[in-house]
Amino acid sequence: MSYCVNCGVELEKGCPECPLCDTPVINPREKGDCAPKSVYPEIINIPKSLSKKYLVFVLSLVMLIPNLVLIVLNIFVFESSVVKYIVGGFCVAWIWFLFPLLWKKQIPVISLGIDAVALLVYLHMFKIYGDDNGWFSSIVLPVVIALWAICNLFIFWLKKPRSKPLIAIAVLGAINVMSFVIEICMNMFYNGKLQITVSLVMTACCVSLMIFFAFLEKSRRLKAWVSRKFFM
Amino acid sequence: MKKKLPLRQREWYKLDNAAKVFPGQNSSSWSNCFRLSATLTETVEPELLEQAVKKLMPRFPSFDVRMRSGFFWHYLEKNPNGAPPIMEDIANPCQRFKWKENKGYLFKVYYYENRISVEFYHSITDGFGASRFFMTLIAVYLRLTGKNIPNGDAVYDIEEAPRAGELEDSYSKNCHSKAKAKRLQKFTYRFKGERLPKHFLNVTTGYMPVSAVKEKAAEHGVTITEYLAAVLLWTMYNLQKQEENNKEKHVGIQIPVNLRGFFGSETLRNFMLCYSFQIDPKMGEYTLPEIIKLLSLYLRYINNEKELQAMMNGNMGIERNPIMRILPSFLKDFGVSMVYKVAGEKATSCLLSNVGVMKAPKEMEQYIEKLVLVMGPAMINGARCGALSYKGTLAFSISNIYKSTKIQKEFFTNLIKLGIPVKIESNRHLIKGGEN
Repeated sequence: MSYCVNCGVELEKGCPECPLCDTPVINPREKGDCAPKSVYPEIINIPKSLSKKYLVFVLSLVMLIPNLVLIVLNIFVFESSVVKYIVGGFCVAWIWFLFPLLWKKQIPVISLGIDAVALLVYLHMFKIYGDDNGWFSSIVLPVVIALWAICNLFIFWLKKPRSKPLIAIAVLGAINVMSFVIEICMNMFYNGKLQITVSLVMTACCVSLMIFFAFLEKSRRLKAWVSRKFFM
Repeated sequence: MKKKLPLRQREWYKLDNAAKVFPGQNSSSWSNCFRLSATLTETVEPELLEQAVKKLMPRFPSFDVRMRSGFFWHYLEKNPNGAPPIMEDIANPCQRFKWKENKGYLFKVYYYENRISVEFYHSITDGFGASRFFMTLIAVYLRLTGKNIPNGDAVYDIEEAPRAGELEDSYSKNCHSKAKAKRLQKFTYRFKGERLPKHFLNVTTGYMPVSAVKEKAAEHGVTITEYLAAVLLWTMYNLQKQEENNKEKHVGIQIPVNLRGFFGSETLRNFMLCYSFQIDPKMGEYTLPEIIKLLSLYLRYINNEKELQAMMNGNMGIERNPIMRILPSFLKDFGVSMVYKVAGEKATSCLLSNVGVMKAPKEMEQYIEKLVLVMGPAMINGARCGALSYKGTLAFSISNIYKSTKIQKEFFTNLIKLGIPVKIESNRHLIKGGEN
């Protein structure tokens, strides 16, 4: 029999290291005596989770039924212009949330591209059936393209493992860039001039938070405290 | 699973008071369950084990059930599938129960080399009921291998018809108190760290001589449960002290107690309550003898029929509340799940369930090397402990959902420092793959 020199517990015969403290067990009398015998088998069982296809099928049905009812009512009972927007909204939601579940391997650039196109088509519907004073091409198009580009950049950057504070800094940076894009587009469209005010306030908030996270990345003590307090 | 019995043959049971909570807590990755394991002297033959389980089912109708969802409550219905499948054991035990898996049975039977293990979902039974079922299963299996095993102690006669008392809901029968015990408990310290992946559990079992623990407990004039609970609580208290920047929260322990002795019940379904004990580190430094004294005094003060009645009445009050009764079961489940996730385990730092000494007929003892009780994983707590004494050895298991082994190491090292020798076995080296 062997004992752990660190924690003092008796160990199973042939045990290469203490299961409590990982201290290697060196017992010359047991060397080559017998192979370590495990009290548990090596089989690891991970229970089956719900099939994604089945989940998509059920949720699609749940989404389809109210839409079909609405379309039928719209044709035979009342005529409302709102129905097409509701149905369109459901279609976008399906493409955003359920369609990716059908993919065996996610390709973020394509997936995000499809999401962006779906959103643009949906918003284009508002342009076709509503007032068109140029808002689509001046605000929606650049904002959606900027968002798509930022998301892609972010995913590309995340390919290498990054620490949590660094990710937080990147997210704050992305939010700040997006606030600039939105404000510039809105001001150019409504006032026709390049005026920046709200984004500067956003920048002040984001930069102070970014400094905090940068400090968190550097300070091991602060990192340990935050990790324990917020269970990160 | 699609088998349906004719309506007349569909025996069903209402869930008892304790069992009603567990379906609400159930999730795709967590169930409230526990495991009993017996290491035999010979290799287990799965075919014979399967036969033994089938022979056993008519004697234990409260185990021969599946979970069904009613409009207001879940209920248990006789399972038409005969018996659960016998499975090869796994390295990551105490996984979640799903109503449609395992042929609908709420207990799972495993074998590995010379060990038989059964995992029980807490809605069908508690430690006492499970131990009777388990020991009878082992006895029936040993008889099938040609051994002559008599009935007696924890081994029930399978030729006998199940007694009505074994199937009763003892909570409803014995709850007559008008008083309700207050359940206000402070949120306590709990060990935090990086969790093991879903469906993984680190089980560490320490074997120690009962005589050594008894001797140490006797030095303080307390029972083995009180002594081990105090050492566990002291371990958690010290772990909190070792952490930086903490606010010194209360440190608490939950100890389930078997109510059968108080109320003369022989039910095999749930009939237990949990005692909760807390210490407040803000009051000053605690030493182990102090904790032992406080804990034992508290348990002795609360351990009486009137207090237990009041605690039971408090729990039954929720079930009997008219608003609660008219809520559909899915809303009840949602409520239970939310309450349990938010506050359920936060009022305790650890749990210790001691089923006591397991007695088997002498003819049977020679074929069983050791018996172990393993508690299922907690949702957030790192220390769920099960203790069981058999043939002079106490098996103390710690089920930990965290990668760190600090709790196990501190606890067993404390026992060694106190003069109790401990032999360790663990599944940690096998689940390390899942840690990465």
